[in-house]
Amino acid sequence: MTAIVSPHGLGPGALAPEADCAVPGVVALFARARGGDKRAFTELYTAHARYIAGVVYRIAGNDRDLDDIVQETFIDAIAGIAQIEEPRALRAWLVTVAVRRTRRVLGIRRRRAFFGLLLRDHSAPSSNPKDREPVDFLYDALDKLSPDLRIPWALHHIEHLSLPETAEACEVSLATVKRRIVEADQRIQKRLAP
Amino acid sequence: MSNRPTSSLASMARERQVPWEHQRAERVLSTALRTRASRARQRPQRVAIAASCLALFVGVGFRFMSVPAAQANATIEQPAPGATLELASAAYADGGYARD
Repeated sequence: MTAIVSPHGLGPGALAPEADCAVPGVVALFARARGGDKRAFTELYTAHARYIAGVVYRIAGNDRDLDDIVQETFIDAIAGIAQIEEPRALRAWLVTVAVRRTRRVLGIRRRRAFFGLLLRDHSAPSSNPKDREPVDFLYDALDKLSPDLRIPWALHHIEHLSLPETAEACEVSLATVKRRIVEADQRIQKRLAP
Repeated sequence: MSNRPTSSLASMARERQVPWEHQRAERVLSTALRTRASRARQRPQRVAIAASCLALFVGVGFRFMSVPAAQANATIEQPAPGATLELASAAYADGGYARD
């Protein structure tokens, strides 16, 4: 099981081609996962879950819905794995599925906050301003953005995905993703300005 | 407000430890496997319910569509030639014509 764990899964960074895809077992594993093999599903999960959890955590800024999003991502993934031709493309595709799920959760959070049902979502994690970390201010600013602006910005600037990778993960064109990142950047800078 | 530039804050966000310890990963995996199995079990039931709903919808649709069709095909019984005159005469005799 541990043979396919990717070193890229341990931290943020670009969607580097997975070297472990060269291992012949990975192709067989991929085929078994497509066939609904539970063990293969477990192995794919072990190889990619940490990376996906990292992406979701860095977009959302907290771990409130992390378990649900990762879980749903892998359930969606196993249902739609037949769409993937190349095992190499699996990680990028998982990020796309996770981004889709995260967008939905962020949208729900914003709607709830709008109706005042979950005021904590848009409030400071700590009541004492002195206890707050600088990065909390960044996530406060991100919370004010729509998911369509927030996600590309986080993927590009925090997760360090390239623009084409970000566009693919967000399922929009390169031009759209560039425009959204610039717009998000301007709004964040405006909010963070002293 | 933070006085740090955005890029510096983004780097700090990137370096934060992801709370994804082994126990948590195991718990998410077991829930995912249970959910997946449960959805697979429920799939035939969902298909059966969807098929029943569709059949009901189609049945009700046919029923409503068949009513105007039946009416359209119904023939109005025409009085025999000369009967109209007899009816008019009878009505006149009754004074119905004058009343109208």
